[in-house]
Amino acid sequence: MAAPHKFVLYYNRFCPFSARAVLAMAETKQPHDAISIDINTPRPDWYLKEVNPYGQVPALKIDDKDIVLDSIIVAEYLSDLHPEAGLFPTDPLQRAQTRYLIQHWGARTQPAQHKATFSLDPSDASSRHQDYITELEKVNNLLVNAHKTSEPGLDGNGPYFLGSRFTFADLALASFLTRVPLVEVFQGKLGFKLPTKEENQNLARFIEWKDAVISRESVVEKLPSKEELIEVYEKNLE
Amino acid sequence: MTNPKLVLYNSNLCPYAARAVIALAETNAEHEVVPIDLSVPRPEWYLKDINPYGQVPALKVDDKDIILESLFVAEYIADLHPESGLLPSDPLQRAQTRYLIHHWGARVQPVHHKASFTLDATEAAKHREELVVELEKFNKLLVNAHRNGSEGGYFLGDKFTFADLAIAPFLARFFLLGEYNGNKDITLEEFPQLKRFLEWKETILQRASIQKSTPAKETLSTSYRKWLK
Repeated sequence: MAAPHKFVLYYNRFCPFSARAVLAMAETKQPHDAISIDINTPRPDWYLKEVNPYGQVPALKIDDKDIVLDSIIVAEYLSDLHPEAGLFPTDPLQRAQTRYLIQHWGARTQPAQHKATFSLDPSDASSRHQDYITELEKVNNLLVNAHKTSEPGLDGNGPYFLGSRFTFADLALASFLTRVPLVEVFQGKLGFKLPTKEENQNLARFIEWKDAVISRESVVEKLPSKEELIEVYEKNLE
Repeated sequence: MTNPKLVLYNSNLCPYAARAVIALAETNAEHEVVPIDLSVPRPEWYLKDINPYGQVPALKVDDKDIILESLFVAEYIADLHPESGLLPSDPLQRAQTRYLIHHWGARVQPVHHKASFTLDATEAAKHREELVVELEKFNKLLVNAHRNGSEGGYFLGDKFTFADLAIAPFLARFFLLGEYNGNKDITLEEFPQLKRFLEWKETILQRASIQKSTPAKETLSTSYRKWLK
């Protein structure tokens, strides 16, 4: 067997994309060095030159020579390196649904969540709150329609996306799910409240999933707490 | 395991749908094709039962599950047929594969679009210069591919793999750069530093499944005219 790789992860604690790489490292128990990059000031020259010319985090340097960029690609690389962690299902349809859930959240849900969280304009508060709920209901639907297999933990008996096993879609969306409570924190005075499962049956599965993911040990240990997020994001309110 | 029943909703002109067509051809997977006309509004049944966003490709599996997004459809087909070797098993090759596809779509393709379809000749020439800058970065990714000793024109060497597949339809349309606005296509004579990119493109465009899934140049040239601005 080849000598183990040397890994350096460039990340930022408050970047939800970096969180994917951080969680993948934790879930695969991969030894690595972690270098924090300040994303509120221009990137230092050495970062642009030696790591990522586009300046973004996360980035992974392997054996002092290969660079892997893009949060999903970094997290997937680590998952591939550690099949024993079982992060990626082997069933082709579950794999496709995993990718689709992640892409759907980024393209459809996250913009609505961002708008719902940070905009303080009272005149369209109720429509952006409703848009957000509508998008969460679509996610709920994707969860309900997750393909089941007979593989351990991937048989659809919740609470994670595919069953009792924490897999890649849960990992990739964890940091965004930790930001769901912020909507109520910042928008409560404009009338927003996240419905309970009893109040909205079409969100029941989403709420079960969200609660399970954000209380997972690696998520609690490695990602900022709700209080930390509130403190950092209060500045972004417009 | 029996192969699932596959129905591909496709449009021959769409480069994204072509990814699915190529994957089906390369894996010899049995399937049906339902053509979707993109020049008219999508029929109700398509929006309701297949894809509310109206796009192609879409793949219906066993008459019940739907897979959307060209890369996910293509990867699903590749996963169904691991014997095709379309997806490398080496983790770093897989990461480089995914990144090459991502980089093409995020950095190269948008500039190629501008350079091809901008009517104003001066603006178009500027975009062509920007394209060359992006192609130089892209060329580096090709040169730095982990080929594990394999020789050959494809991304990872002598085997046609997923990165080649995913970008192929866009390489087949690359010539449109020289069609409309006085810009010339990219050649080795003018840009010797792009040797690896041009050799890679040439290798891919000679592959049968790519040729079969690409409309004639005249058809493409005419139909893409609508993007001119």
